[in-house]
Amino acid sequence: MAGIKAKEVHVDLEKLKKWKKQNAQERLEFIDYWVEYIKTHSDEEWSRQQNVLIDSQIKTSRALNKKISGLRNGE
Amino acid sequence: MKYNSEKREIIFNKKALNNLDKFTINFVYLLNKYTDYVIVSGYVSILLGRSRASEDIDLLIPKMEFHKFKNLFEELLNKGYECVNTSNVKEAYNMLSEHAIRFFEKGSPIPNIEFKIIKTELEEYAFNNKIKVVFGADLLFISPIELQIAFKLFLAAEGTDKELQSDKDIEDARHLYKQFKEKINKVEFLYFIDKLNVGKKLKWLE
Repeated sequence: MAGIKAKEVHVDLEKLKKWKKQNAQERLEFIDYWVEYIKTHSDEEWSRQQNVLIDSQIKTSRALNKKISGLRNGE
Repeated sequence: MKYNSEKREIIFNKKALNNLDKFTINFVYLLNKYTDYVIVSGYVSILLGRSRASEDIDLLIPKMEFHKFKNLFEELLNKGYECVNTSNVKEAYNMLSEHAIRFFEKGSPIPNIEFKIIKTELEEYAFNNKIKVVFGADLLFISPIELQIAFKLFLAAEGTDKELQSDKDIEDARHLYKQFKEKINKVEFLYFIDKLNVGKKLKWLE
């Protein structure tokens, strides 16, 4: 892939649209799966799993922000 | 979690608190000294189990007198919060009558609280019909589920029959609907669906 220029990139829109549709469907199916998981597991259990996602995102965002602030301050 | 729709109460049993929960609880602990509030939008779905994170928590409050707002603003600043928009209390108060203002813990813009005065009848309804969410010694007030689902469908981009949507608002609405469909007030729910003209989007819920 190295060296390929933007104008040389072929985009198959039909294929992309198909993927987009399938991806959206899979996401909706996961919502149903996850709601079922919540209903069949204790609050302690599902929230522990949910927290892995939430806490890691906040941690990453904060670290990124610190880095950006550092760069702005010339560190 | 148990939802008692008559008591308008959701009770968690030993929910493990994440950083978003802790941030919100700490903020409303201070806010509660000055005003009631209702949480709306994305964090409602997240609090009720949706598997996604968010950068902000949307919070509505009734109109406040300046002296009350001043005390709240000063306490927030003294307790380590920063207002994104301004550090001047008068400016912040004036902005609040026009648009939302944001607060975050000093040095950490994420997550933040988007703080807004109630202006529309929909917002007033959310505030007057809020649901109490209890987890241990802590509690938060959130928008009614029926309105929340309908409004999330309203926020979602227009979909066509040919193209399924991948949209966080659709996903939030579906999460809440699937979780509470046996308990929601169908008459109220369909009323908001009709008023927000989102009947065509109901298909995304099932």
